Amino acid sequence: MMTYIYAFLFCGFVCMIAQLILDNTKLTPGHITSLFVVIGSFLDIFSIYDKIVIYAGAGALIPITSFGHLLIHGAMETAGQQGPLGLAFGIFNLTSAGISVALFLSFVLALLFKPKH
Amino acid sequence: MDKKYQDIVDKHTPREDIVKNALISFFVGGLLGSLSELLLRVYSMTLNLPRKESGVLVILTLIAIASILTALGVFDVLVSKLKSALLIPITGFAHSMTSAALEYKNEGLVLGIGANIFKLAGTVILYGVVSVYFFGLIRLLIMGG
Amino acid sequence: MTIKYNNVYVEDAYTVCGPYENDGPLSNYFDKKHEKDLYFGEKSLEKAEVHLLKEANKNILSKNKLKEDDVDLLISGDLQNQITSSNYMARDFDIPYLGIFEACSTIAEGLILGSTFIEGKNAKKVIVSTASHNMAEEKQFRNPTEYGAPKKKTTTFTATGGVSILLSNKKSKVKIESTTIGKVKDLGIKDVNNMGAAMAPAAASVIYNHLKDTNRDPNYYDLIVTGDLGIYGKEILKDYLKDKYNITLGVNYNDCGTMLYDLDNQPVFAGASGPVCSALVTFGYIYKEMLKGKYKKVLVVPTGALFSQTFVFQKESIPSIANAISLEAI
Repeated sequence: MMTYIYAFLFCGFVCMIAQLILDNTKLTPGHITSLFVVIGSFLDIFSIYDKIVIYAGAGALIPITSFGHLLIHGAMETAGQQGPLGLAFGIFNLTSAGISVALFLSFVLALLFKPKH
Repeated sequence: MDKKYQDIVDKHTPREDIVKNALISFFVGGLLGSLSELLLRVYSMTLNLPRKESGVLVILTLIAIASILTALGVFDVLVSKLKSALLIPITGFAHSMTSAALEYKNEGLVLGIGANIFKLAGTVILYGVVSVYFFGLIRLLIMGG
Repeated sequence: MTIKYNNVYVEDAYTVCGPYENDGPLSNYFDKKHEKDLYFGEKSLEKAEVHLLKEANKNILSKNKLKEDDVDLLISGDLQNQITSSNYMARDFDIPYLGIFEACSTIAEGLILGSTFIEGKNAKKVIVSTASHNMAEEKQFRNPTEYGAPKKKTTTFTATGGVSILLSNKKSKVKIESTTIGKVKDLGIKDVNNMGAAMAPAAASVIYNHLKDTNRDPNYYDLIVTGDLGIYGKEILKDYLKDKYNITLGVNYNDCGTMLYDLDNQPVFAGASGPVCSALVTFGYIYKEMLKGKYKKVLVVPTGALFSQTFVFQKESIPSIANAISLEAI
């Protein structure tokens, strides 16, 4: 039950911070999402983001920070078995579904629709 | 930069609704977080999947919703009202790719869609990967794996 | 540089607008209104912008029963890279063509050139046209049009439309009385979301020079309008003109960007912008009201931001230009 609350708090917090940065600096959504991805992977040097996922569940999985967390996880899983080169081999393992589905859907939808005002 | 002119400009530049925007982002973002957790449990129970796989499915669901709403011309209107709550979750990533693909279709499959689909999302993938090579290496050195 | 003209008249004007302008307060002043979408039956946004220009120019010819042979010169410009909208329109017209660019001050540049050709007896009839297209400009200058990046309050909304003006040496009700060519001004504004702030200095400079060269003060004119400074840019201009040039603009001052739309009910932030903004307001509304006798002397000051994405990303500031066109009803 607490997971729902922590999910709300964490995801809401991350979105709020992004909005504050957007409104108070010259940074664009592109800058902010890039920064958050880096933060997500950074927080997993010491497995901090892993702990956030345990508490906040999906609330930690859906912000773009989790993309960084998934990238480093994928990389670490194979690096654990194969050494540093393993980073390269596993980096996209956990994000392949997200990236490929986003690509595929975007392509199909672009064939069927056009931009409206 | 002409300081005196900058003063005149600052005098007539309205402040964005910082508090209102922050609160909307917090509450809508939070709601999205909770609903995603609910969806995760629904997937887990109905499809008999462990949390990890259900988590991926939740992400894919959000990607699909964002892409479809973008193609329907609705998502940009939602973002202008709900702000970062829709851009920070994975929905923002999917939205950026679908909107770019839609925009450049007239320039062809390869030179239009192909060349531009990562226009806005590429930076996220690039810096995600770059940071992982650095931080992954650090973690390997410190923690061994 | 200020030039006075004895023989240059606005013989006619034709205005085409898009759905947002059709929903605005000046809708009844436009000759052709597109209501449905921004494609006008074309396949792409860029082709839609060409469509607007072709429509405006074809209609001004047919409305005045003119053949292409009757027009000595076609001058046109727009915001698309390499001014492709004007170029692809011009290939459909068998008229000597000058493509020009000064961003949202393009129409003023065109009127200055056209007037000077007529006054110098090198042309009898000149067509000057411009267009802009909200989605085509968003795509080129900002983000894919379906991308919903939050917009700042100072952002302006590019107007969609095409305007064609027929200048001639034939005496008509409204004449081009004089024009002043502006100088490029850059006071260091780097914020592409605040064009009003970037362009106000150029407007101030050309207004000052025009009034100085003609020995007039602002009250000489029934109406002075800037092109697209927007709600906030308007105030910046008034303060800056007073502060730097000691010129006070009174109630006879307005900005086309704040006139084209219903600012309270349309999602247009700080107001309209784009080369066609000042053109639609001037040659839709102001020109028709001059024909009816409401305004006799009007000073139109279209303003342009002369930047590119590339230079902004290279951390450059935004230079701007403005030119002054004095219209007089006789």
